[in-house]
Amino acid sequence: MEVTDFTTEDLVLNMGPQHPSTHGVLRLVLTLDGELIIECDPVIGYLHSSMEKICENRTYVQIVPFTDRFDYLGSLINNFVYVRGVEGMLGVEVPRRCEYIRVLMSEMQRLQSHLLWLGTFGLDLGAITLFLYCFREREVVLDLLESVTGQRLLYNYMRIGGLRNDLPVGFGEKCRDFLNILPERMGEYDQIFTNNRIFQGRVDGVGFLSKDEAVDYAISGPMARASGIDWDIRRDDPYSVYPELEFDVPVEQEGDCLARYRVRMEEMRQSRKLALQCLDALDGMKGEDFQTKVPKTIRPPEGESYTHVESPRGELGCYLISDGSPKPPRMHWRAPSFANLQAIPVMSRGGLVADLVAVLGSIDIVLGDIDR
Amino acid sequence: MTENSADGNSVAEEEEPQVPEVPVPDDIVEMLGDAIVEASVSGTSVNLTLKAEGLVEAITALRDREAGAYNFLANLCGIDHGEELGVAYHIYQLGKPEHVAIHVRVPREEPVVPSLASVFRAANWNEREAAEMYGIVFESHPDPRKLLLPDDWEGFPMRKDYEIPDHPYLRPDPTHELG
Repeated sequence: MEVTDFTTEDLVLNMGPQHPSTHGVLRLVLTLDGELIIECDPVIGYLHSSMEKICENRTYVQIVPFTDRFDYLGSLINNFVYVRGVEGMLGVEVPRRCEYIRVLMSEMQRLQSHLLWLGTFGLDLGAITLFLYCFREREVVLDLLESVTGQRLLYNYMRIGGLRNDLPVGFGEKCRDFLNILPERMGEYDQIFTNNRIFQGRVDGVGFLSKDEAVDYAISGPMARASGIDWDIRRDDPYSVYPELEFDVPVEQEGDCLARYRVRMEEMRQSRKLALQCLDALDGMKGEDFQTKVPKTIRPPEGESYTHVESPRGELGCYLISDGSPKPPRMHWRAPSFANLQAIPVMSRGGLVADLVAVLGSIDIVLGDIDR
Repeated sequence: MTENSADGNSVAEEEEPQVPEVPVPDDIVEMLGDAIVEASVSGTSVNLTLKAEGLVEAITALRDREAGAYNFLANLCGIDHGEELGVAYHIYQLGKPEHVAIHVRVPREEPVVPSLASVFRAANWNEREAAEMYGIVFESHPDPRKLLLPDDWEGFPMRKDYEIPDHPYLRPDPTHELG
């Protein structure tokens, strides 16, 4: 028998929905040629809870806690985009102190989300130590957020026209203590992880996404910035008090997992900078109001609005249609993870199965956001 | 800035309640021509209502526009307008606040909209979601499977007239009192 007689066939492999590195219930149907991925087809919807339909049957005020549950690692930012959307339709302006607290909370939330991403990204790649280091810091952020909102994950903190409550006494000092120690801690991450040769080998040049493809797939946030798209909604379509704050937008050109890692690491430093500026500004506004008066029953005038903010994962949009009644007839959530995950076939094609885990980790998906 | 559609794509509201202060950019009116049913500008947003026929050509023209290309499909979703179904598109100029908000309305009995998946690959999943939720048929969609719902799901749950099917899990708990 000659060697040329044997035949090969492609292997179809299910990765997930129960898989430790899919960050929730994501299923990837892989077509493999040996260990190389020919085709990757994401199957989503396992966490679908028809939240948009539920929101159509709730009043504007009742929707706020539902928004927490879309992207559960960015609850405060979800609150933020929704209340901004409704306030925009009502034509309500909130006091500056409220805006500063909102931005401070958003940046702390971003820090929390990126710390969790960093820890789990390490886990995906086999670096278990880093996970423990990141959770040490994340725990402090969660304690800080808990002291303000009373919750650790789903905060339900922002209200249409203001906030539920003021910052607690002594929050500024505690928050500063943490932010001052953060650069040192981030130096530890760099020592442990960033400059680690094994880590570099796992992510350098893996999961390439070109700039044109990123635009075509409507990729946003850190993923887009890692592919050379210089776009941050906080700077380019500024909202709230972001124009008054100073921060840089990190951009990398490589478009691989390492670039996405670098962008997020730098974003954490920028979030720290932003939070410190907010704290300084808030010191000068002690005792000022943090709410504005809104009617008890909120009835935005007939019309529609699309509001977007920069979430830890990218462009988070809230599309609202109002017919003048107390309930929105349509509310659509533009989920950043939903758009970002769609590009995974492009990023994984031709790569190894082991690399797919790194690619998935570098997208930073939240399944609650994708399935809604 | 409004052009009446010849096929009587009836919009319930009275047209031209007030003359918009900012005119729609001339090149957009010229490019899209007859495809426009209604157009206005508010802030950084150009609001267009387009006909379903020729939508792909219109959006391709907007994407390749010389004076600021609308090349980032931020949002695409279905809407139930009652008599009609609709699709809303929000397309941004990359890195800028300028965007177009496009509405397309189609009759409820025959909700057919051309697919934009050939223009923006981002439209693929969004259209699959709108299709399963509202029963909108996206013509020549490359992958018309269900996305979020199970494959054997019947009915279009986001439509206003959708009736929740009888299922033991979905029956209200008789011991649970609703306030």
